[in-house]
Amino acid sequence: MRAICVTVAAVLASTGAAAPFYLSDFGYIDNTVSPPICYLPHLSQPGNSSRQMPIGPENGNAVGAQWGDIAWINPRDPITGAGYWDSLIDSLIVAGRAVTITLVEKTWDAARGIWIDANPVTGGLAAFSGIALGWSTDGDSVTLHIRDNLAVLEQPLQDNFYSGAGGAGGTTDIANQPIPKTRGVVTNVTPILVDPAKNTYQISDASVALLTVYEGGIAGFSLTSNFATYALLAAATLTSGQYATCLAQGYFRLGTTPVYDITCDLRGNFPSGATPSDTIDIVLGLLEEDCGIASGSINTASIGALQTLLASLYGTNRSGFYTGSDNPTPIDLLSLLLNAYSCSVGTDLNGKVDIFQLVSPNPVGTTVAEFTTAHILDGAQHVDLPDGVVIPNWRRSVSFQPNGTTQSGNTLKPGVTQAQRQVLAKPYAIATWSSTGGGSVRALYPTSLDAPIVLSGLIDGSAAQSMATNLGALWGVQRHLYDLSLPRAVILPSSGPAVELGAIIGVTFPIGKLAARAVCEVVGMDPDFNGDTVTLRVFL
Amino acid sequence: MSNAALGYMNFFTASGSIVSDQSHATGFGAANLAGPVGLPGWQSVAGVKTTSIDIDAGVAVSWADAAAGGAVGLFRTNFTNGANLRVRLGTTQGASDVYDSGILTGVVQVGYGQGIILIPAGTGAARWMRFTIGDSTNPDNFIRAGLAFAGPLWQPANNFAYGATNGFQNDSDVQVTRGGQEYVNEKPNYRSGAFAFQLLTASEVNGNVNDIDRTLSIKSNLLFLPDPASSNLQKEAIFGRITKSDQSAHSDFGIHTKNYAIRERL
Repeated sequence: MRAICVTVAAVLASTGAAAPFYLSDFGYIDNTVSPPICYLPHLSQPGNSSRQMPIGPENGNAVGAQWGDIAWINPRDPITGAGYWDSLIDSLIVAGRAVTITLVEKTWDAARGIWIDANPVTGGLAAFSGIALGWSTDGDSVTLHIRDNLAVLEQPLQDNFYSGAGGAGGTTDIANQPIPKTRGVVTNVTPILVDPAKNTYQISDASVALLTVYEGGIAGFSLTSNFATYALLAAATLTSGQYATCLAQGYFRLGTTPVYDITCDLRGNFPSGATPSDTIDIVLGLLEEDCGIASGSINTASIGALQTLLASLYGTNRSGFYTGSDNPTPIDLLSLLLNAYSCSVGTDLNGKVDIFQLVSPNPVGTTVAEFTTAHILDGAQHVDLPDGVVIPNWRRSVSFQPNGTTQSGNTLKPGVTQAQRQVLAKPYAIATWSSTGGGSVRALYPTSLDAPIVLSGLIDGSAAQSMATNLGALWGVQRHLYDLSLPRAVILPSSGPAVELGAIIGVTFPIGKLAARAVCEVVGMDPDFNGDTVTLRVFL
Repeated sequence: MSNAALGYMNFFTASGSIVSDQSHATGFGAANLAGPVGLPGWQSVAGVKTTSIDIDAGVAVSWADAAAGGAVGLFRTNFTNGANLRVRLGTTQGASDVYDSGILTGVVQVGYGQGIILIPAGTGAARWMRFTIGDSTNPDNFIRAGLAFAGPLWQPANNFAYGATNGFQNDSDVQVTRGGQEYVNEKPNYRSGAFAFQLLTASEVNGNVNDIDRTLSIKSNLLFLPDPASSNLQKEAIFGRITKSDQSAHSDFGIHTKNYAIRERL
């Protein structure tokens, strides 16, 4: 018998001191800790965590998630009428505090003929880990609103802004503007002019390397020195045609006031000094260093395995982003970095941040589980694919070589070649897969679409071409989605989850393509704790 | 067989009572035994497997009815069937000058998790009650109880009618696959019963029956002993909430009826 245990890491409103509380459906006492912790049997609605991977890179930039509220009763004293939670609602703060849902097995003691609570709650099966948004009560019950741990990815990335105080603080004209971040390799981006009097520009809030400075598209400056600090850079003496850098702090300075627009190519490092060499390195650095997500809250093992897989498919790929004077959210940047790989960021059952890849399941590939009519409940149904991929695409495109500043005409110096002008006039180059001619996708499906270009931060065209080809393999054939409802005991047995998002499974069930065994990818999970079932959305 | 007995005046929950213990883990004091459900309950400190719970009623009170006697019981326990139990009633804390059950063994039955000691009719008044539990072989290394009762019983002059029910129930959810396989989402057993008194007197209705409706109704716990003299007392007794309490009916001249249903409190 399995108890659902909820832990809410509340704090006292008066002092901020930790004041966690604990709930359960059957009631549970964790006797493995001292003093024992009682998970009060007040829980009436244990919540859930529905997760769906975006189906196609143009249909979302992160794993979509919905969370059912956690609700519990507010038992009243039969004599005084006071509700157990009446005073706690006002004295505790739950907003922004950690919430976990754990499934813990009770132990049957045959000698006594009773269920006992012998297992640690921390050793139970994690079903949700996230944060509370707030709570409310109607007197008879209390409702806790929850969400996953990705809230930080939806906030603007940069929380440091120019003060306008001059020097490194920038002029009043750029006061309160976000300081730019550069991570990975970017090309022809427009730096932020922080000190017009000294022609000093900032290109990142961390160290940079491999800096090339252009004026009007021409790299005509000669590098004199690199200084350790902004102050030393500002104090240096430069002459016309020279530039100096402070790579450690992300600045450079010109020896003369430019006539044309200044742009640059560079590689940005992370605040720790880590130099990303691959897209997934940038993603991990963004999560850990820029978003402040502890490495323990990231499924680094899963992401590491994915990185190895992606490297085997596409090699190691240079990529990056530059925020300039904008302040995008991490989700926006992760979309730029991951969409071309058909990957999206989300959380696993443990609440850890993970990256999930939509794949074309190999019909004869290895599966982690097999589900048949012996496991699947009646009511399985075909689900419509999102617009744009309802029928196969005849053309898929991925952008590469992003041009941070599009330039043309008299914004460029006369010495810029025609070939360079062609590159600088476009925001990016495009790699494409297409299927035309007799027997092609376009011939078979006359209403087939040329899918929108998937924007990426990729530098190299060969990698972008591989990814466009992969997108063609993924979306150039008819795909299917099914929702399968299975008993919770099958999907979340006490031994651990049978499947997780992204798992490759075999399904045999009398509906559509599943009638003959089909290999599918799990792209959605909806554990309905109230209904004792888990709905899997599978893709093939 | 004796007539059924009902216990509805519980000194564990009475407003004038002070419940204490000799050992409890933090947050698991014996005062929790007044709670309506079996958690958090009372639990001894790890390693303590012989200890006592006391009730100070404030003044000398009758723990046993003059005719039906009384009962003291712990429910939702983790006791082994080797546990020994003892109840003492006294004029001072821990004293046995009013009543001493002596150390009783073999009370706790496998699968029921409860231990009840009857107090004989005619036992005098006492201010203090001490319930001592010894369970030296308890594998949990502590002893705990979720609910408790201590107080007098009421025995109607005529027993409940034939057709009374008493037994285990289970509300586990069963999912059936398309292939016919069943998967059970297990929920705990509980016991329940239904019984009807069809030969109550007017004084019983105006006294005990209405007292039960007034003080407990369907919100608080009742001790139901179908047969206090039964050798299966520990298996038959249900401590729980009244789930059905029809209004008493005046069915014939001098005859009143009352239907009850009870569900074990978990």
